[in-house]
Amino acid sequence: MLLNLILYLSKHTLRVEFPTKLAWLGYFISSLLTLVVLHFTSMAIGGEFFRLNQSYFTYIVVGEVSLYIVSGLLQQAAVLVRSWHERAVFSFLLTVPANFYLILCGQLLAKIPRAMLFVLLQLVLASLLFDFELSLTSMIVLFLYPLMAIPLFLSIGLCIIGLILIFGRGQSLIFYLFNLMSILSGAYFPLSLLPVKFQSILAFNPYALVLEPIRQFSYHFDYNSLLQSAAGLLLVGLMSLGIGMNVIFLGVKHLKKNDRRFTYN
Amino acid sequence: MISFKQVEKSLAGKKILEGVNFTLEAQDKIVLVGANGCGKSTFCKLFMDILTPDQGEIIRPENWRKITGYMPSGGDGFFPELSGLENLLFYASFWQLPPQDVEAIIERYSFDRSFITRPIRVYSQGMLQKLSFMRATMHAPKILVLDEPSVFIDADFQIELLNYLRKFQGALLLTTHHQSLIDGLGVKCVKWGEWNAA
Repeated sequence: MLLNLILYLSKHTLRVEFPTKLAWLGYFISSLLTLVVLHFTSMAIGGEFFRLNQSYFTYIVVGEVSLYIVSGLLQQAAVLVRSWHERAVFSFLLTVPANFYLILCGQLLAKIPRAMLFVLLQLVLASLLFDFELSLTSMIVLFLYPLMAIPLFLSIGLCIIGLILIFGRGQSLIFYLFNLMSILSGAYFPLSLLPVKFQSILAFNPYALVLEPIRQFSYHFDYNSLLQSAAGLLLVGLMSLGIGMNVIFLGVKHLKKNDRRFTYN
Repeated sequence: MISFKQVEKSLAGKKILEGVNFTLEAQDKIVLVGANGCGKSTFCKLFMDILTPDQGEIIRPENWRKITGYMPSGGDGFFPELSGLENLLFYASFWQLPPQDVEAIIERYSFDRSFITRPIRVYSQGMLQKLSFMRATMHAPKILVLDEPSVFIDADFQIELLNYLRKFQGALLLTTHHQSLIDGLGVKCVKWGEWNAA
């Protein structure tokens, strides 16, 4: 049922976000412009600045694209909680003969196909039009590896929704944390530039857990290490789903007790 | 069918319900009336398991969600980014209704065709109310909970609503301020707080 729901909602998402050919063209142009901006930024800064062993353009595109799917999932959670609460969708879904939590997970996961499309487009454009120094194998890894992190990020998304439901606020703080996590993930500069103590803390940044194995593979092509990281990430994600489900359960319980409106900040 | 046993509920420090006993039987038609803010919508939400009581219990049949239709006040519960048709199709899927049934109900209530495929964020309050009524009744429920259904709707749809409710064979819980709807239905009317009358 969850798979059917995701497919159904994904189709809806695509239809809503891209209702016309013009919308698709806009999407294509914005993807291209993103790469153009990254290209000129990398020319201005240059890989030498961070002592990288690849061009800064490749480094930053790998960073941005690797995190696109999982960051989209978290943003979807923060956006969804507001939009559903404003229209009392949360409340209404409690009255239909279906598993509320399954619908919620379906809605969160429905953005993934769209994000994958973006990743694919960025990789194709970067390879064809720019100086993107990544092998085909590394690109496949970059495309597929973030999928292993879906359970972990689904769990974080459920925690976000649950906590906002409990406290009735916190959406701005969540977006601030997303930005901080993204900047300190190694997407834009190597974390090795930071103090050693700080590096060990940032190793637990969920974004870094996704990005670092992809980077390492692109440097060393070590399949064993990649598989170990993927298995670890999947395992941690599946275990954390229990926490996510408990937090969202508490959030809904709180909602059913208080029927409170949000302040969103 | 659905019973409240010694139910108590407070919201934001205000006691809404205290020791309420209430039962809605299979063919009961109950209209709940009361002043604004007295707790009619809260009562409907408790009935629909959107809220939980602080004390007491609410007993429902096992499959109550399958046989119940709910129309919240203000046309709530729609996905703003989806069209009216998509919203109806989405909710219809929970009752395994085919798209033809959704089309049929749109036809039956003459919902404006130029709007049904547009996102519901552009709908007027009246259109949302109409859509909400269609969602509540499209699966031919045996229990119907309507929270102020006659607010914002036009005269033609008021007649449609009254006709539907007159023919409705199941259990009805309705909250309203409109005396014309109460008179038109000619059913048991319970004033807020007078639970023994129910």
